[in-house]
Amino acid sequence: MIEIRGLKKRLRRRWVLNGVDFTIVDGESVVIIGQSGTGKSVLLKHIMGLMKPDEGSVLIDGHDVTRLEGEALLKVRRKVGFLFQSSALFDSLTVAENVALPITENRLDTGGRLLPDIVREKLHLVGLSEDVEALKPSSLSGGMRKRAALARVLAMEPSYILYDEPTTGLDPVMADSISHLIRKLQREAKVTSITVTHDMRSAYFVADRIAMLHDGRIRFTGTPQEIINSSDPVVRQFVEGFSENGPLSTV
Amino acid sequence: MRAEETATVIVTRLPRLVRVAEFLINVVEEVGRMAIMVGQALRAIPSAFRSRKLVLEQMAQMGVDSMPLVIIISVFTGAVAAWQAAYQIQGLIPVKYLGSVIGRNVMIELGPVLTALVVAGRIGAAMAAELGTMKVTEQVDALEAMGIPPARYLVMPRLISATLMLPVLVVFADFLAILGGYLVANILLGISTYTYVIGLRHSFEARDLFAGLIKAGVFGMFMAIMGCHYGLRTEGGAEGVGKSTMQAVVASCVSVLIADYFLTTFLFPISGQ
Ligand SMILES: Nc1ncnc2c1ncn2[C@@H]1O[C@H](COP(=O)(O)OP(=O)(O)OP(=O)(O)O)[C@@H](O)[C@H]1O
Ligand SMILES: [Mg+2]
Repeated sequence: MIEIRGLKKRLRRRWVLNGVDFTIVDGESVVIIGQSGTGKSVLLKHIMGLMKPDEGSVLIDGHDVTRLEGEALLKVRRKVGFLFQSSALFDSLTVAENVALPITENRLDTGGRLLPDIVREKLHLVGLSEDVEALKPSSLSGGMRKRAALARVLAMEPSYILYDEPTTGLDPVMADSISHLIRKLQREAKVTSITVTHDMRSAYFVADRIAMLHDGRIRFTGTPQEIINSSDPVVRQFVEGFSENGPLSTV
Repeated sequence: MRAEETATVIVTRLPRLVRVAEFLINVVEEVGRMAIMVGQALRAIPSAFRSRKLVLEQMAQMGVDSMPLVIIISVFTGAVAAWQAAYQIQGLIPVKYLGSVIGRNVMIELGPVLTALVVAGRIGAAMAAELGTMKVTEQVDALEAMGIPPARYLVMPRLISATLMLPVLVVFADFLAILGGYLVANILLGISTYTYVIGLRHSFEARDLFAGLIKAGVFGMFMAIMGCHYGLRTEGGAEGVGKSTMQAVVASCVSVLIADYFLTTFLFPISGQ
């Protein structure tokens, strides 16, 4: 379980997060939507303990990642995979080395299986063939980079995965396959997932529950059906995606 | 009136005082962060054997990258040292003792310090640029997100390899500088090979050589600390990477020279003092 309590963060003289309260229970798939620049990535980085809040706490299975340091924090992080918006693959390593890195560096138990086999399996899972194994990330397309980064996340066998805009910049077919993958991992590998996205089509497919971040707080939570039926003008505007005559500003 | 004047002086100077205070606080903060990073990297040393591939890669890269530069600067340093020594001792000491003057100068000071200064430009800059790029492209965050401490994966291998590799480079530099000195002494100053070698052997002390190599190790360590520190605190895209690279080079050179002073007074005590 991930419990976010009263999270506040000031960045560049602005309260990007201004009292976020939100709980994600085990096994569910939550989607967070919100305008560009509202702080969705910042929220995810707080869950990873990569950023420290000014106030509030984030509890992962009861451990407060905002107060943990050093080895204790690293230990909690190994349970949580994070797919970066920018993929963040190590560009000095090949794709295979990228995927293997969390296993070798954390000395994870492979149950006697060979590392190359595990790497291949993870790459297959995200739809990449062995041809890419020896390539450097710089020679991959954006979609392939995202998949490779996801394979690296899966190598840690995390109980939670945070996806930061997993479908942005992908063609619709590729985007849909990523959405399916997120669902498949949640259903089959029992991964609890938090997905940040602007892609409402993907959001409806992936989410058990959708939360909208607005003005530093969670403005709305509900099932995809509930969000479609919502009468909140802010939610309506975002979901329907019109830019004129609505409460959301685009400047 | 007096009190008022004093008050005015204080008020007008306040902004400057505040700036000085801010500067000092920044320096302390910077040094503190560096100390934390070094502490974490040192604590990761027990896993150096497991990470030997990383360490060896770094060492190979440093050696290969720096060697051409070391060859050129060493030969010329030795050549200049020979000419200058000859100029300075003319009329005081017979020029045939050139070998002994050059040998000691090179091993104690010129070899380690000049190599360190030149290599600082390469190693310090390379580290800061590489880690800085990793930082701004979120690769450092990715490491942390996977539960891999950057101090262990990135800093420790660089710290170890720079500390070990610099003395190796300095051994080459010493040899080449003495060779450069020989060329000048032999070709331009007409000192025979035999005389030059006798001079060298006459003044050679093993502890000079070793003390020079210890210096080199410490310089290497400082370079790695500066390169990693400025690299890892890079912010703001390509421009930020450029800025931290420059800062790392400057800080490496300055720290090398300051460390040189303290190490020299410590390693080469003047007898009777
Ligand atoms: N490291 C940082 N330092 C200072 N400000 C930051 C930092 N990271 C993010 N911000 C600011 O916080 C705000 C929220 O950024 P964030 O990246 O979380 O937005 P987002 O909701 O993920 O947007 P997008 O959908 O475009 O990815 C932005 O105004 C950004 O400028
Ligand atoms: Mg974002």
